Amino acid sequence: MNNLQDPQSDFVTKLQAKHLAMKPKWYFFVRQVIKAGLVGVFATSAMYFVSLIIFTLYSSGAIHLSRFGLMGLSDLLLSLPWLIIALALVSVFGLVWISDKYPITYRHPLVFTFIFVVGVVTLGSYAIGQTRLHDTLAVLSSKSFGFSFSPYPQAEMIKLHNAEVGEVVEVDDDGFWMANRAHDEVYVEISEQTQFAPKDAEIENDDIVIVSGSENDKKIRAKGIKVLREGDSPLMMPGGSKKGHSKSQDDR
Amino acid sequence: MVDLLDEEIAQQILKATNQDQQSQMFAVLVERYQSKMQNYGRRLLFDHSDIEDVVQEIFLKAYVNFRSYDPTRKFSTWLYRIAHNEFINHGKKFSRQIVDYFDLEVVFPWFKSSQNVESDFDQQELLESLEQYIEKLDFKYREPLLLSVQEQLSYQEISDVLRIPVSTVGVRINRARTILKKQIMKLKTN
Repeated sequence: MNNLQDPQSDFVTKLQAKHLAMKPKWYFFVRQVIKAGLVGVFATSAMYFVSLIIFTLYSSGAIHLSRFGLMGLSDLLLSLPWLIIALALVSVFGLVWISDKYPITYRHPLVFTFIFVVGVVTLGSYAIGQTRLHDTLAVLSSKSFGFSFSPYPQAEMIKLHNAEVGEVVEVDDDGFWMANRAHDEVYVEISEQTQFAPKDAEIENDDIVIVSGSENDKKIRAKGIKVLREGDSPLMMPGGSKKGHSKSQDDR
Repeated sequence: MVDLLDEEIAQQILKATNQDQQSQMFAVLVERYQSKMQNYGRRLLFDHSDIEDVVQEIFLKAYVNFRSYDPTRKFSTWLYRIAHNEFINHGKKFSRQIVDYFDLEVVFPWFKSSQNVESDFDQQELLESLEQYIEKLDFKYREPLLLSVQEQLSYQEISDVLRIPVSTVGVRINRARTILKKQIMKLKTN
């Protein structure tokens, strides 16, 4: 050790001159813990946001717009919760990025990491969907704790593009009156072009309906009407409650 | 000390309690790798002006972060990873992750592997052509080829240094060899 050659003595001299010391072991341990924590945070948020997207699509009624042809699909696209979708994508990419720092992932093609992450997020969000997490949070949120950034808007605030959700209050020969989620009464005009889902649906009082069509002066010329029946996912209605098919449908 | 493997010296450094002992033992590793790092840097970047400063910086960084090294793994792979990052920073290239997410060779390595190998190179011929034509190779092909041919790292070790899939390492080395082969053929026909 005494007969050091130039590179060695140079290096030792530089170390001493710069007063450099090895970082302690706990520093690297903390970094590993933070890295693992970030995996957990990104994975949980990705699963939460994906399940929230599905919850929002069903509880707002937007998912049913896809039944009304191309116009319905375009209305569905314009009604998607894009901010939540963006947050879900950020979480998924964050998870891919942080996972790619582990040898088990970076040694394999990136597409495998994507497939694995998408699989985990899909399964996780399905599992969250099976719980009543979002329903509970939506009810809590509707009881108004004053959160202005809640991902669960009050039913009155939910807006669909060219579509309206409501409860039928009175039926006449040309259509029906319904109370929408903003507590307004609007008239829905039915024509020969109006598509029904299901096809044999008959509108009765207390039915919960999703009407596709643009509103003008409290009147909607319906392009499509979806009547909620048994088995359909209930919709978010004012007061934080979710309503599905009306009682009278049970007797039909 | 001279007869010990890198990993054995590393274990002794990690066990040492005295900072002087640690730096003296680490200096042995510095001596072993200094010229290798300089060659690696010169062939990677072509800018030779301050390569020695960058190499010094690599060793200082390795020393400061030495407790993150796992002595059950190869020391050279760990050191080359630090060197790769330093040279990339020095050459002001984009970080690998942003670039690689759009690189088909990383996302779908087998998609590119059909552009196959003309591997009738012997090692000596390859080393000679590397000297002459290394600058013809794109950075992403140059580095894995250097690590494989010049530094004698395995594909898995190169994968750990560059943090790219093992199959991508294979694809890039094959591609680099094909490009070199073409250069040699061109020269011969001329």
